[in-house]
Amino acid sequence: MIAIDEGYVDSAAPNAEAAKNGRGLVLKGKFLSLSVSEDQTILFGECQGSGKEPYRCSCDFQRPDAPTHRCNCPSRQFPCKHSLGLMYAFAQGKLFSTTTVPEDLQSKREKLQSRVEKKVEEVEKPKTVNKGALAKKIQAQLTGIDLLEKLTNDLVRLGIGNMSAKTAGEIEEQAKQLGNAYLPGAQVALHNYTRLFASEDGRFHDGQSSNQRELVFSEALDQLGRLHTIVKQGRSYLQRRLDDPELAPETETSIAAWLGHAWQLRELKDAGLVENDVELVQLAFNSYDDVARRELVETGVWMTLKTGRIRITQNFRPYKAAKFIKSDDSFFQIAQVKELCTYPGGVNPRIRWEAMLLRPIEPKDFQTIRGHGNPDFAAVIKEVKTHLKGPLADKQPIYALNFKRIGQVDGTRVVEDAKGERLVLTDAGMSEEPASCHLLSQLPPACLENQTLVVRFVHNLDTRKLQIKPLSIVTPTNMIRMTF
Amino acid sequence: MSIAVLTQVYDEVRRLAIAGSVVAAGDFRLQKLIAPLEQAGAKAPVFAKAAQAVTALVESNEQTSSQALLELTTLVNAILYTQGETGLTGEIEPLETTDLGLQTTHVGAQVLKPLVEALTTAGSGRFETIQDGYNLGAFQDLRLVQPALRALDDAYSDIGYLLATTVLPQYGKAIYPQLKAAFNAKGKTTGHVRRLTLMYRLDPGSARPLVKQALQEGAKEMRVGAIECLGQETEDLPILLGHVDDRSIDVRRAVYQALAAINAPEAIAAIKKVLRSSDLELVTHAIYQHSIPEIVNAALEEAKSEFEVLLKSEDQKAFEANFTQFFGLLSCIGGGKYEIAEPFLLESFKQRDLLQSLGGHTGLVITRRICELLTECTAVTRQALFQAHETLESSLLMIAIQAAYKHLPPAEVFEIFSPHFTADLPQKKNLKDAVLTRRKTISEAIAGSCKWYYVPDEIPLIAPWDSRWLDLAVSARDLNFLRPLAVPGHAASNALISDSFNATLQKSRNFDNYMTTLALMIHVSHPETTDSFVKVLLHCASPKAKNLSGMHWIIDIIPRLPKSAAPQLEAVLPELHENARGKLFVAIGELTSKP
Repeated sequence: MIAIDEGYVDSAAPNAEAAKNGRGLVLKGKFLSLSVSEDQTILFGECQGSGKEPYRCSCDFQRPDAPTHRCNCPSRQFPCKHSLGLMYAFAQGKLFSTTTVPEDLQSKREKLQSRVEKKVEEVEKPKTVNKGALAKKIQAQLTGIDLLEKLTNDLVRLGIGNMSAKTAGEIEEQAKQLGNAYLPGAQVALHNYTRLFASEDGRFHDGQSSNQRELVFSEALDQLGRLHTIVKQGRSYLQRRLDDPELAPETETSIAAWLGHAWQLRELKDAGLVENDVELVQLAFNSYDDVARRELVETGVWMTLKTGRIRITQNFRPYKAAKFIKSDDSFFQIAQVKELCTYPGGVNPRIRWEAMLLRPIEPKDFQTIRGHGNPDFAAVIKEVKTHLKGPLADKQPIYALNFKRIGQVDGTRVVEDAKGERLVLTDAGMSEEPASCHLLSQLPPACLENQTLVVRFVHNLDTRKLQIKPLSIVTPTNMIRMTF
Repeated sequence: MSIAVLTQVYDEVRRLAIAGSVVAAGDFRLQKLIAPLEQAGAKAPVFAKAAQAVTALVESNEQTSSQALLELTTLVNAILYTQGETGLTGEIEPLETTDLGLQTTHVGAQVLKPLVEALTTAGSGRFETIQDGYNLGAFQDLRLVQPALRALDDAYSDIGYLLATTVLPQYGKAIYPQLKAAFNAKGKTTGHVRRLTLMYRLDPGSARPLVKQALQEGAKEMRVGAIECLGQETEDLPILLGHVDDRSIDVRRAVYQALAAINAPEAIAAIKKVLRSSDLELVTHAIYQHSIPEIVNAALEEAKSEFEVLLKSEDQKAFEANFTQFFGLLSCIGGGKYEIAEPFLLESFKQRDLLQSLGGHTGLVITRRICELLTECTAVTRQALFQAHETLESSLLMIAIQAAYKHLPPAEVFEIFSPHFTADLPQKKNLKDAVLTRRKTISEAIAGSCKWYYVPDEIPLIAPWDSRWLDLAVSARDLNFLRPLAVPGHAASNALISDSFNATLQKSRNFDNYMTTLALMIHVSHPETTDSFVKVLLHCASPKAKNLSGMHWIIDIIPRLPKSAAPQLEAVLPELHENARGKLFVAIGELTSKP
């Protein structure tokens, strides 16, 4: 039995435009036939397109946690608007005739089944390491690290205040060599430094006012310190791997990720970073356009219902391929994940899964989330500070806090716990997310007392204050999201 | 104290990092901090470590300075991250909240993001995004309230209007404080005017002082907006009367609009005064709309006296000078709305010849307006217009037949107007031309009732014409006249269509010239329809054809042919221009798949 609703189809759509077009096909009555198999595991139909022959599309739920969408239209988006329309029609209760699955579709289903079985077999085979190739790669990475060190030292000698558009452009150009040296993460770290001197359109211009430049100096210094740490820890890590080719990528620290190691699910499984049968709820979501890196970034903040651990999903869509990579979206249900892989990291590591089932969120889930909120601000602050001192740590960790009240002191919004410990709410320093503090003034007073607040901590290097940005409020019956 | 030293170290390191590490060697300001750090190091080893790092930096050279500075930076930053100041002392007060009653934030980012972008940026295509979002119910989401409020200032006025009239009112009084906070009575942008009118709509009582302030202090647009809010309360009347002499036409128009809706002696007196002024055109619509009897009567009396003046005009120049005022008064009394005005309209209509002789073209314009008003009057009054058809100038005759088509049974329309076709043509040229002109007017009026262009039956006629017109149309050999009248199986009209088609075939290779004929053929199920399509295709889309423009419409109507036409059309495809084949193939496919 296929249990899908319109929310499910929305989340399956690769982007908003595809979802809109899919809905439009149903509205305009473009489907010439709508069918469902006798065993209720596959939807298939014919949709009139611009050509003479209608498109034949199907949505196969034989694997309910990882459905397969097929269509003979030329679109490179999956699911295409025709498959989405088919699912919308089903979710909207349109009449589907129960018929036998056409032969060609049946044979495709069988082929898929055999491919899945073959994949499982392949995963179970022991993986062999080409030691020679690995050594060659690590050697190249070490050469890249030398380059990064040289560039960092040059930047420090030059001085942050003397950065010009020309210098930033040259550094960007040289940073490309880090990508060639299998160090994309280090390249990004260097890029994070240079982009501080870029304007909003992502270009480097001379002529920024001294005030504008002054605003980024502290952050720039922090970034240089981070590059220095990547050089030191990266060199040591790579040298260890060069000496022992059998050594697996490091999972205790995030250095492998900082160097740009692309974690394979298999590696995460081998490292024991897999949890089984996990239920996840999304606490917040935001997407932003990273003009400097020319990509769209979507970040989901998720809590594991069982443990309360908060982790993130990240989806990077470079402009050039944005249309063909499925965009993530806000998620309002509970994701039931068979196999959840966690990347090495600190407070909020990145997570990933390949297949999931959905169930609606219920009041008991809100209670569970609230149960995981930390009522002791002092303890959380201590934990955050300990975390932040690591040069490679995520500088904006996310926590769920159970608060007594949200109020104001001389016009400054603060949140207070039961013991009277306070944290100041701010939007400063987080340009990737929309402002959210003002939304608190639009909520009923009951939402500002004895609820759970999901927050992102931020340490301002200039004012030396540790403050928080509200992301969501969880009440016993609702989750009020403040960012997007 | 120790942390203060460390903060000083950070400041110095930051200064050196900005200037470049090459200037760090021997830096005396940094050097001064070594001693306090070493002192603090006795208690906490981390300070001793910092002291060593500072020493290393101060003693560095050009080559080693960068490493030393980075080491010190990493160490100091790590410590300072643990010292972040939290909390805020003082009395905590409840947050001032405006409960919008919206706690739903269940709109996905994929919908929300483009909506916020549409509300906060410039560029084309935003209106549709906002309207779609509203239709989806997205504006119930709390996160859209602020962007929507800010977008009242949008440079594209349609967006501001949509928000002010449709989107924002759904939040009710709750947004009033935010509107008020952003409102500036002296503001120059339309956004402030929208805020004022929206505030008044949401909470008239609270907004009243702001309206008065806007009227006192605002620019022209603001005053117009403020006046549009007035008129509901007794106390508004003196305020409105105080602005009847405003220098701005827009302000006066708004004032008159408001006064014309108030049935009070002072307001009526003010409007009566306008009836005799050059501001009349500013108030005509409001007078007609609000229909206060005393004002309508006054307008009628004024119209009568102006009409007298018109008829006494000594020359065309004098006639034209009085024309505008009389024309405006006619708009006040309207047609059909007030029976008391009908005798006057009838009397004016009778003077049409005099009007035209005195005023020339201007006199004809007035007569047309009178005729238009007559068509909206009672049936008895209307009849006078129809009965006068023999003496009407052609544009007046057009008005008469169009009104007759709308109001009379088809047979009666035929009885009244067909004699223009059936009577013998006079011998005298000028009389003959007059009759031919009338025939043309009538045939054009009938042709104009047919709204389809090349896709038959797409827009049906408002009412059928009497079938006897068909024979007259055939006799007139006018396809446009025939179009709304033609029916299947009428031999004479089929013959006319065939003749017309063959005549066109002799002289044109352009698809556009066959449009009416082929569409008519489909409409009347002409026996030669398919053959004619084939001939046109071979004629206009031959492999040597240089221009296939106009082929799109033939593609559009091919699916309307009988299904049996498909094989014949398919057979001719190989003989056509290669650029035509593909599109025709699709159209024929659509024809074939017809149920």
